Amino acid sequence: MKESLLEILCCPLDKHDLELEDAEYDGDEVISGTLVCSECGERYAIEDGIPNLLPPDMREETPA
Amino acid sequence: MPKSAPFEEHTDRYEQWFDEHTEAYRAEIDALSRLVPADAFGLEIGVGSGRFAEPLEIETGVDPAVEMLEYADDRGIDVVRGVAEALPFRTDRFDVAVIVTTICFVDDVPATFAEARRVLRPGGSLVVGYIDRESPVGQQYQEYKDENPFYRDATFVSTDELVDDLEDAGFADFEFVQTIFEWPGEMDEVDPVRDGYGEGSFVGIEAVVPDE
Repeated sequence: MKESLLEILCCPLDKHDLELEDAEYDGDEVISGTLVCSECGERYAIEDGIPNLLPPDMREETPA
Repeated sequence: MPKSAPFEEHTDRYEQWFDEHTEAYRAEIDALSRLVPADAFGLEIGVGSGRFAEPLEIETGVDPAVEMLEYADDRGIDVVRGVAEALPFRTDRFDVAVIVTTICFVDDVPATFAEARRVLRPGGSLVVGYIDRESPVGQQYQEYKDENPFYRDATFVSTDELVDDLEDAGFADFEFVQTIFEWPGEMDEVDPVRDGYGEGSFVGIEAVVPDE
């Protein structure tokens, strides 16, 4: 994902802003890292460049 | 949970449909192009592999099926894994949101429309494209849904039901287009797009978020 995407993303639960932690880059692309909700602290992984912003209770139910 | 498992398992089969039904696919894009404003900052909800976002020039897409998102990523779409009922996008961000052949797979249609309205700015529009349950193709899909891995868990909808749900979510100023007047597998040329609904099997609705 492009880092500029953070300007439109939010936590799917409480809609607060997300902060990027532990980012690894390939040029302009963030290929891995964690998005952390500035309000509730929920953590969302960026896997192979795609942020996983499923609500946490759906992560296990949706087979990878 | 979203009905995304078949799309994760049968991604290649999904992609193949578009290559084998180029006339029907083209007619659907033509219909939606009439409703999607040019130069609008857009989000496709249920973007899948990006088959509609790319020709409609929609920049951003969300879908629960990561295998499909990898195709959309390759098509140049900014992709995010998520669900329609809990969108991970900020309020009042987009000029247009599109939901194409997806509404039959969401768990909660009212919640989906409420979230679409939230992320659209006032004056923005939602475009929904789908196979109308009351149409010839819709009736066929309904009858044989158990034999199709994608449609087994689908809940097909009629245009009147969608309009009710859109009104309940606060949308107004509806505009309708329709196409697919023949069987998608038997089309020799691209079907035309007409205004309204009730004849074509594929219907597009544009619904506007009223200005405050």
